[in-house]
Amino acid sequence: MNGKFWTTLGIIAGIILILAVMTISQYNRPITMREAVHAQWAQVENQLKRRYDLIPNLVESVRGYAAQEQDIFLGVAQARKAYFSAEGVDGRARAASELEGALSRLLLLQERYPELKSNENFLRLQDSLEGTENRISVERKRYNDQVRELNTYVKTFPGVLFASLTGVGPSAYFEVSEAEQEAPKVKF
Amino acid sequence: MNFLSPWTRFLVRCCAILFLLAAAPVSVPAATGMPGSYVVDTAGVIDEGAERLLIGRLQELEQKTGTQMVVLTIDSTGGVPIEEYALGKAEGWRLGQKGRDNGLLFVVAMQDKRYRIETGYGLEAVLPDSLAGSIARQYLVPLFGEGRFSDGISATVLVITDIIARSQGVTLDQSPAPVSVREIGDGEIPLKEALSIVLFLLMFGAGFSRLYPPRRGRSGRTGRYYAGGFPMAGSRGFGDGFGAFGGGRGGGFGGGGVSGGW
Repeated sequence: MNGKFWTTLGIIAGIILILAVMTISQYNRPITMREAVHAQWAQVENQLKRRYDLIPNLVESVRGYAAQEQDIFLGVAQARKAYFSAEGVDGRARAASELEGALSRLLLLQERYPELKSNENFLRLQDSLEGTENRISVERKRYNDQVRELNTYVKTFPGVLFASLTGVGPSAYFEVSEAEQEAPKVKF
Repeated sequence: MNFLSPWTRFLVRCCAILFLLAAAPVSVPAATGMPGSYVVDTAGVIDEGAERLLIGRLQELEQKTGTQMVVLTIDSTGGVPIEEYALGKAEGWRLGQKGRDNGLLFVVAMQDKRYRIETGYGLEAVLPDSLAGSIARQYLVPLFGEGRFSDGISATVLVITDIIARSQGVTLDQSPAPVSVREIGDGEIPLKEALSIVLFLLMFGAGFSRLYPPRRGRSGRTGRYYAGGFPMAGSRGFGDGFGAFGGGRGGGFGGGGVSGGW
């Protein structure tokens, strides 16, 4: 009888301990997830910054062949400036897609100025830009996956409990505007 | 004998279930396959001699630099953009060492007429997109244009492996006469030079394979691939083929690299 009592007590204590461990790990989970979202956002920004830095050289190499296309150069410069001053995920995302549009108009110039296609410097810059665009889309997808995981967690049980305890809310997706998705891509 | 009451047994079970739940990993890592070889010629465009040469070369590259590079030829990506396809493959195969992220996948899709060189994070500085693009334009595109797919792939791989080896201060055995990569920007690497290198290596490889008859018979091959090319002067020695892909696989890729058509 006595042994049975202690066994039961021990088991109950064990359950409480495990519950406590689970609670603590769950309590940390939304915070860990939010940090992962932030870290992934930093990756996206890294790549956006990389594109931002590439632009002046690219513009210069095109200008040598198509100096009269002032509108396009102006558009790129403005979009670039707008990106720099944009804030928040939404603002940055919008500015980034405008910049992308301006850049694809710039790259399309090679249809009108075929000499560009034989300029190795231009081609290399274009490779770098394309590589960066691809990196952006990869990191953007990873970011959105992280956000989806976090948002699903904080909106469903039991995550919703721990999320409100820790004050972690849903994060914003990096949306690609529909216009951009439909915009004809320059294919090389 | 039955010293636990049903109630206690119930508690024990709960405990066990809770414990399992607590111990269960949050996410199960995706099952991963492994490429059958350094050269996966699904489309069947690489000559036998060239294939042996490339396998030897890529194996040596891994032994000396840790870089895990794989060549993959396919018919088509089936409508998927080649960038997406290559990234998926590279990650699925977990190319590159963990932490060093030095994986590299070179994909050629024959019917799509598209190629992609997918560089792991750790190689982006050694092989920036612009350089990879230049190499492809100078070696791959012209040779592919002539229908010389095997040569185009070989030349591209030889130049890339050379760049990676140099960046780490090692030379690969049977290294061709130095190809100065830095010159690509201004002066072009003469195509002829590259071709003579390829030819030289092909002849060399063919000669060797006669001395060491490769253990062929694709059907009977299990897992390991025995490089028929060169005895490695390196640590693990001849015959230690693809299974050697050691050093903790699972390098990271971030969509770096270059793609194009011919």
